[in-house]
This record gives sequence, structure tokens and C-alpha cells, in this order.
Amino acid sequence: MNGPEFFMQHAGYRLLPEDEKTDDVVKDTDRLFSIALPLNTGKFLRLSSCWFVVTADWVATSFKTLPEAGFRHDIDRKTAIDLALKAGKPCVLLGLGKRTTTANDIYVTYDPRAARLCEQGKTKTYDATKEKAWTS
Amino acid sequence: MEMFTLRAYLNTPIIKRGFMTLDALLMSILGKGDVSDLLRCDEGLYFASAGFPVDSVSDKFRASFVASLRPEHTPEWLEVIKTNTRSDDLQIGLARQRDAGNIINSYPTQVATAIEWYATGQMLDVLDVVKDIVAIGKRRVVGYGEVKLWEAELGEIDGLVGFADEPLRPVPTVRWHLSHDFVPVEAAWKAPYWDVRNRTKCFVPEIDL
Repeated sequence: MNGPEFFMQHAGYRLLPEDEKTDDVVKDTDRLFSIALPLNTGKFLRLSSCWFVVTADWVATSFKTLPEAGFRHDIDRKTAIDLALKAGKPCVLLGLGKRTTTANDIYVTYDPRAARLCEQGKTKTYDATKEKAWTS
Repeated sequence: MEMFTLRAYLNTPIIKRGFMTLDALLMSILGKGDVSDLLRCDEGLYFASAGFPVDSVSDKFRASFVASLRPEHTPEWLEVIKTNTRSDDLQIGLARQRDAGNIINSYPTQVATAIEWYATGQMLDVLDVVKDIVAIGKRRVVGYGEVKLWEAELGEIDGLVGFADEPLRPVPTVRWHLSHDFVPVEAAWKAPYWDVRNRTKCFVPEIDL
């Protein structure tokens, strides 16, 4: 499973409107990041300037999603990344700025020794087990 | 088909991005997506390793390039930086013209005696394809990755697995039958390598941390 498939299966398809879905997960991912989505404030906003930590069990984000999506908003980014990496299961760590994200930008982290922090157009790979906070 | 080692001796530092597998190199030279007539291929997986630097200086440095994108000199850039309005008004003040300005890109650059690939295939045919290539890697036109000599010799490595049973190229973990004591990462394992659809959980030869 690659990044777009993992992200869409566990998070993206909960946000993408039914009439926008196709059979192609890459197209769906690109579409998701290019349309305005409803916020819990009643407004609409493109998926940008926020972060996502996506695991198979839970999704945490700073994007003000509707409650129906079932995403967590109770933890900060650092805590979410720590939780996801220490669980030792595949996850996607996504940091979004103002630029449009594409399917190409999304990578799955399979092992905390090669954690992949995905941003638009670049991916930072680092060994999370060597971070100071790993043992604390 | 035989196991062989292909070596490109370098005159200048190389800007190598990604794994630069031998099948990808041949595909880019020949302009086609199938080189199974030259290299052994099992269900999309080529027996062709990533490019490994030989006698490389351990410290990588970054080569920086400046592109001066000034609409005063390059009118095409007016189209790129025009205001986002419905009208076709391309009136751009000096301030927005300066927004384009100089764009600096830097690339990790490596000094090495040679780049080496291990593969299974038609050694002489592969050498015939690459022998006229004068440069490899990125920024070739400004002198990086200049090749002074191509050399091929029979070898003992098949292009997938190294002497220490380590992966020599991205190999999907489901197709890796040796030790799983490697760090899995998401990587493209077959061409086209830029296509996200060809990325999956792989064991790879090295991770640039």
C-alpha cells in the first residue's frame, strides 16, 4: 500500500464528497486537496495550513473537520506523531502549508527508524528513535 | 544472460537523486519503458541495482544554482506570475516583478571515483548502449557527472541481493525472501519511478537520513 492509498482509506474518503469519488485513488487524492471542504465552523476551506497524523486506528488533525469525520482534535501535533510512531504501525505524517498538496507528496511511515514527515514537494526522513523524546 | 558489473568512471562530482537504478538509466537513454531484452526482469522487477558510488568522499556538499527569473528579461514569466483575476490584465508592478527574481536551488553533490551497478543481463549489449553517454545524474549540462570511461566485467552479484544478503535496489517486502532485518520504506520499485502508483513498502539499499 502506498501513501495516497493509505491516506485516502483511513482519512481522505471520510472528507471527499461522494460525487467527487472515482475509481482512481491518485485522482481522488489530488481532487481532495484542490476542493473546498466544509469546516465545523460552517465555512468552507481548502485542505491547507494544517497537519494530519493518520493511522489505521485513528486520525488526528488540526483541520477543523466536521464531527462526522470522526477525527481527533484533542491532541497536539507532537503528541500525535509520538503516539503514532511508538505504536509501531504504519502511519502518515502530513504537514500542509499554503501550497497545494499532491498524491506524490504522501508517503507511509512503516518504521520509526525511517519516519517520513511529508510536506508539499518534499519529504523529510529521520530516525525518530534517536530523538531525545523517544525514551521519555 | 550473465551477472555483470557496470562502472562509470567520473571526471566531475555527481548530483545523484534517488536510487538511479540501471534499468532506469537504460530506459532514459533508450527512451522506452521496457529494457527486458537487456536486463533480466521477473514480473516487473529488474535484476539491476541502484548506482553505488565507488571511493566516494564521505562528506556530501551542496551545489547551488541560481535561476534569474526576471520578467523584464524573460517575458514568458509574466504568464506565470500574473495576478489571479478573470481579466487578461497582465499589468504587473515592479514589486511583483521582483517577486520572481532569483530562484536558488541546491542539490546534494557527491565526489566519487566511479558509479557502479550490478545486474543480470546482456553485458555487451548494455555496454554498447551506455558507451557514448558523456554525463549522468542531474545538472549534466553545467558539467556535473561527467563520465570519462565506461567499463563492464563479469561479476558475482545478480543486481538484487548483495554479498551480505542486503537489498541492492528497492524490492517490495512481499517479494523479499531473505532476512527482514532492514528498515522498510515506501519507494518506487518499477518504472516509471516517478509514478506514485508504482510505490509500495520496500526494502532499499540505503536511506538518506
